[in-house]
Amino acid sequence: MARYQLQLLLSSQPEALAKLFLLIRQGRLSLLEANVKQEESGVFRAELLIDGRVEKINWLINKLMFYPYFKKIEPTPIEVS
Amino acid sequence: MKAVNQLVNKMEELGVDVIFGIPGGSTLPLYDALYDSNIRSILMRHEQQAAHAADGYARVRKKPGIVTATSGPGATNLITGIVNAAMDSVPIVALTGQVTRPFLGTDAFQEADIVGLVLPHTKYATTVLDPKRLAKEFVNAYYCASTGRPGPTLLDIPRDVMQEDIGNEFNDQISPDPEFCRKPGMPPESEFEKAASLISSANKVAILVGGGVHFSGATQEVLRLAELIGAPIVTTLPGKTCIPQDHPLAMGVVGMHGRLEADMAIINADLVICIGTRISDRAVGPHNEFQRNRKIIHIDIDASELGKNVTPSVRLNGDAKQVLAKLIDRLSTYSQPNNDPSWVEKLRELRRAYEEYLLSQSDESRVNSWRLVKLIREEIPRSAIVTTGVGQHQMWAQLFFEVLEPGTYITSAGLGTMGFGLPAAFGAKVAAPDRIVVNIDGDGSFQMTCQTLSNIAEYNYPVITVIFDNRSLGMVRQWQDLFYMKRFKDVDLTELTNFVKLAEAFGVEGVLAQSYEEVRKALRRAVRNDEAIVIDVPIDKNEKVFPMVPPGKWLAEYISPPGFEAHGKISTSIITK
Repeated sequence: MARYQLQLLLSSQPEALAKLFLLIRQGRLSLLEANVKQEESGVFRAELLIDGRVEKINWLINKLMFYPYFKKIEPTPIEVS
Repeated sequence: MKAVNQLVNKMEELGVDVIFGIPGGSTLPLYDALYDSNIRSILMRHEQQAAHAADGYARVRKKPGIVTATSGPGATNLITGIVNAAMDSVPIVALTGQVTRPFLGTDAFQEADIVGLVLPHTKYATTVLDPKRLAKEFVNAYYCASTGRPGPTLLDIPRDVMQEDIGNEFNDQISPDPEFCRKPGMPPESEFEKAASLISSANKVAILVGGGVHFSGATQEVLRLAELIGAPIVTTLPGKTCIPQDHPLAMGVVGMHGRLEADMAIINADLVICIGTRISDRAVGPHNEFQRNRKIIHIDIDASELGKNVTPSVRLNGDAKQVLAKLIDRLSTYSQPNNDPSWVEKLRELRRAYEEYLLSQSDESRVNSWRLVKLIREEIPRSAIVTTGVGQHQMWAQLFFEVLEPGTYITSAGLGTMGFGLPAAFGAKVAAPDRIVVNIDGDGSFQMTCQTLSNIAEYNYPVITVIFDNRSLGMVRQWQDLFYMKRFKDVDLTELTNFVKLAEAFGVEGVLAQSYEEVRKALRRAVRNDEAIVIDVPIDKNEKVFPMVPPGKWLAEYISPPGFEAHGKISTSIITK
C-alpha cells in the first residue's frame, strides 16, 4: 500500500471533476482528502491525498493523462508512519 | 450562420461521409443542416444498432464512425454501443441532442444526463453550451477518438445551441487543442536494449497480439519479428483480425476458448511479447499464473496498461508499429536467437492432432458448428469481412474461422455484446460496399438486433447472415450444463420464431439450410451475386464449445472435448517441458 499526494490541473468543465472521481473509484483507491479550486482562468486546480496499491496509483497517474480533461499532474509519494 | 451549419461544414472537412442514427425533436436542426450537405445520413431502427454500425464502419475504415441520437431515450439507447466501442478501443463520435439550455436540469421531457451516464466509458464527453464552440468541440472529439488508443467520445448538444446564429465572422481554421491529440513518444533506448537482450537469451518466445495492432497497422512488423526470432504468434480475440492464419507461425486465439496450440504456446513460453493488449483474464487466465516462470515484454500505446494486470519485465510504451520497427532493428545487432525451432513444429503437430480428432467425430447426419465455420471460410473471398454476434457461434468462429487478410474480422470482444454482429456487419458494408460481408450469428444474438435487416434491404447494402440456430442461449446453457448440474433455466428459446419468414418480412431472402450442401449452395449464390440473405442452419443445442478453460483457471486446466482424453495425453506429451 502507498500514499500519494496528487496535484492536478484540470479543464474548466465540471465533467473533468466527475471523471477524476470516477477514475479514483475505478482504480479502487481510497480518497483521503480533496481540495478543488477554480482559478481565474476557469481551470480547476485539485490537490488529492490517495491511498492504495502502488500499481493502481501508477495506473491512475498514467490514465489521467489519457483523457483531455487533465492538463498536468504532479504525484508526490507520502511517507506513512 | 447557425452553429449547426458550421458543425456540419467542419464534419465534411474532416472527411465524414456517413452518419448513422435516428432523428428526434432535439436533433432536428442537425438533420436540417445535413439535408444540404454531402454527408449521408442512414436511418437506423434503434440507436444501439446505429452505434454498432458506426463501430463496424470505424474498424473497417480505421477512422471515427459517427452516430447520432435524440435526447433522452435516443441517447440512452446508445450506451451499450458506446461501452462496446470503449472496451474494444474503437473510435466513434456520438452526437446527441439535448433539451434547450433553459430547460436543462428541470427533468424536462426527454431530458437525460447522457454525459453523466457515459462519462466512465468515454475518452471525452461534454455538453456544449456555447454555440461558438460547437465546431471546435467536434474537432476535439474527433481527434480525441482516433488519436493514441482509440475510443468513443460524445458531444451532447442542446437544440437551441445548434440553431443559434453565430454570425459570419469567425475563424474557420479550427485545429484540435493539444490535449485532444496527445501522441505517445518512444520508449527510452535502455528499454529496447533490455527487450532485445531478453529475446535473444530466451528459449521459447511467444508473441501475444491484441487489437492494438489493428489500429496501429502493425501486422507486417509483428510477422517480421516472429520470423526473425522464430516465435509462434497467438492472439487475443480482438487481435484475431490482425494475423493471417495461413502464416506458418500463426497459432490462433488463446484463452478460455482458445486453440490448444495457442494455449500450449503460452503455457510453455519462457518469454511472452505482448503487443497492443490489456492482457485480460479472458485471454491468459489468472494473472499470477501467467507471470509465473515466464518473462513478459509489454508493448502498448496506453501507458496505464503497462503494469495494470501483470508486471512486465520490460515496458515499451508507444505505438506498436513504431516500437516494433525499432525493436526489430535493435535485434538485428544480436546473434541468432536461441528460440527452439522444434517447439513450433510440436505446436503444429498438436493442431493437426486436434483437427484429425474433430474430423473423426464428425457426424454427417447433422451440421457440426466447427465444420459450418470452415465451410463459410471456403465459400467467401479472402478479403470478405466477417462479423459475429456473441455466444457459442462466436467461440466456434474464434476457434475455427481463419482470418486470411488483416482487418477482416470484427467481433464484440471486451463487452461481449449480444446483437453486435448484424449492425456491425451493416456498418462494415457501408464502409466497404465492394467487399462481401458475412455476419456469423446465433439465434439468441440475432434476435436482439434483427431489425437491421430493414436497413440492409432499404439501403441495398447486402449482408449475408448465417444463423447457428440451436434454439437456445447456447453459451449460458453450456455453463449450466457443465457447472450447474444441467439445471437448465431460461436458456431454451421457442421453436415458434420462423427466421426465414422474419427475414422476408424485412425484405431480405431467407433460407432454411439443413445440410452442408444446402448451406454451400445458398452461400455460394449470395456471394456470387452479392445478395443479402439470411441462412438459418439448425444445429444441435447439446453441442458444446471445446476446448474450454473453466473461469478463473489457468490455461493448462483446459477441458477437452469428450473422447479427446487420449489425444489430450498425446498432446501434453508432445508439448510439455
